Amino acid sequence: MEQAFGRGFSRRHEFMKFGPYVLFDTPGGRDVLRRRVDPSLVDLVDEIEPAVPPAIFSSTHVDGTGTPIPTRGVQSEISTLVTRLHDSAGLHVGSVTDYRPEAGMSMVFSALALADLRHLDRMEMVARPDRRPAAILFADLEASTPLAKRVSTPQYFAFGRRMVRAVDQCLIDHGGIVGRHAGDGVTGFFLAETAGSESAAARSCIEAARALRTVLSDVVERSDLHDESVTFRFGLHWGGRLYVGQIATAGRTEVTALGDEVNDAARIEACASGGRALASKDLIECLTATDAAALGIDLNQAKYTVLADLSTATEKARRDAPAIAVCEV
Amino acid sequence: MESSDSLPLPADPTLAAIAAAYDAAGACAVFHDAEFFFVYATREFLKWDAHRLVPAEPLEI
Repeated sequence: MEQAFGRGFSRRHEFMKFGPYVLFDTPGGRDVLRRRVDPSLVDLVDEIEPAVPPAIFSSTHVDGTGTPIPTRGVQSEISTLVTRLHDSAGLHVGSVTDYRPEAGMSMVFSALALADLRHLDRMEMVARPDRRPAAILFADLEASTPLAKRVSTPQYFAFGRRMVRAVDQCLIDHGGIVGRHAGDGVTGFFLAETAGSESAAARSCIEAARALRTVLSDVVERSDLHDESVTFRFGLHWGGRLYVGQIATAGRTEVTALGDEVNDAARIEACASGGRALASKDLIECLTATDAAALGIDLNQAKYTVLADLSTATEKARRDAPAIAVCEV
Repeated sequence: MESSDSLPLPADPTLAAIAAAYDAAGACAVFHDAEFFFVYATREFLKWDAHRLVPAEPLEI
């Protein structure tokens, strides 16, 4: 029990708090309760007196000093609402303990107002970090610094907000998990285990990149930027040994992935200037013939170029990932 | 109502009806009988209890 509720949890303290109600409800009183309780609590049975339980009462888990203690791994306070239940004849039949976050429901609703249940499900699946093969998508706004200088700050903020909302929704709609946002860049992961196969994950990743082009073009239009220089570049790669998991802090909960392939995907994206979407050979060759055909890709005729040979290759790409073969999708 | 990952509903019909309603509403709750013996936990509580939504390790910095 201590392990479930946290090290600060004291069963003896809890027994002293609720034992009087238990004693009140135990037929046979103290003698029966003494036989029923855990041996480590027997001595406390003589220290409590029966008390009439309130019809309903709330409680928080606190230690002997009144300090809130983590409950089942949750750092923030958990409130419980205990309600005594009676049948239609008025006979007491039991009680229900309702667990609630200390945050008010208005706060919970606000935090989850825009959350997509499909994404919450996927995040739950990767709560425990593990190796999970996945397609990786990196996307970034090109030349964002000069753009930010040309337009007003409120206009750029509105654009940025529209952009991340649209990108996240698009990634989720295509079966992905939204990764970290850094600056004007986003990452997405398409797990083989959620897509159903490696090919399905790779296909979803490529379809998401293609859909993002349209979505982001709409965002630019709606933001009154009317600027053809506003383009997005995409880097798509396959991570066969990705280590994917959830990172939860007091400030946020997010999914992240670690592995050399993530760094390689970033290198690929950086080389995709000019609004291109570059996919690695590793990713393309995950596709089955059927999925490739659905994407209009001929696996037998595909031509690749290594990053080092691209005219747009960055210094980092030439240094760290020169031999990664890519093609435009 | 019950799925493979839920517990059998309590034997007492009143408790069972209330427990089923709590379960259907997605509440995170546990039930005790009139003598304070544990008799039921909702599916949401079981998921929470399995630590699936929280970090696997204690948050210690």
